[in-house]
Amino acid sequence: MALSTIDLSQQSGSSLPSSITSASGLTTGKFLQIQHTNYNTAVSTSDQGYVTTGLTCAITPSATDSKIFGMFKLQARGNGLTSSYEWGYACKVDRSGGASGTIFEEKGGTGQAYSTYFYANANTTQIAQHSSFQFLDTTHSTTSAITYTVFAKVQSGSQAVDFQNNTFPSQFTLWEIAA
Amino acid sequence: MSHKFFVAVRNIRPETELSFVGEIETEEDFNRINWSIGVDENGFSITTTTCPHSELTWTAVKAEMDNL
Repeated sequence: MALSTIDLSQQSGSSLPSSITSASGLTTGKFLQIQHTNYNTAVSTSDQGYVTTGLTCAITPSATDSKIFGMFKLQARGNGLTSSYEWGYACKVDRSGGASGTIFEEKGGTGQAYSTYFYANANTTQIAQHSSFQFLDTTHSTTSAITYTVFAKVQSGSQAVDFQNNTFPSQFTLWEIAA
Repeated sequence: MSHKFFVAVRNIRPETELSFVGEIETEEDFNRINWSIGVDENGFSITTTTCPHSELTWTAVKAEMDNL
């Protein structure tokens, strides 16, 4: 007779009875694996074109139709280099290896790409902060290793950004979720 | 330290676009800088490690940094 309900309140210990090896009604896990990077090498830029922040994370999907959920946190110190009193940067994530192309780029409704932004009406701007971003990759279609790399650009040529300033780390985490 | 370097570069040549890993403290570090010479169709910076700006030499930048 197939079991449809298991009353765990009648069990002792921390595991299911050894006689139970499978159950068709039991939902198996959707979470397949996790990868994490902690990166603290300083990368500085005053470039208005995208350059690497040095922050990457790699994963080898176990299925072509799985989803890759990514979260990354960028540590940055901003320096306003003139009297414009403002500072900002934009970022995006590109894939390489088993998949390619941009999988995330911050963009506002009007195409504005500098959500990490600071403005002050006094003296030269200097700010240290963390910003977090998320994305979902549903189009990798591969079981080959993929490297996700975070790129960034500054808002104007009168400012600079130091990522991972003073060895404060940026972090990147990837979860693979079954379809 | 990188702030001092960026300010020195800006004082010599405003709006200069560049990027680098680590700190710029020696001529060897200076020669590893990625200088922007444009942007490609995907928004990526096109760079070179050969400084395209004649006024930005290590000697000039170091002297400016020392004066800050």
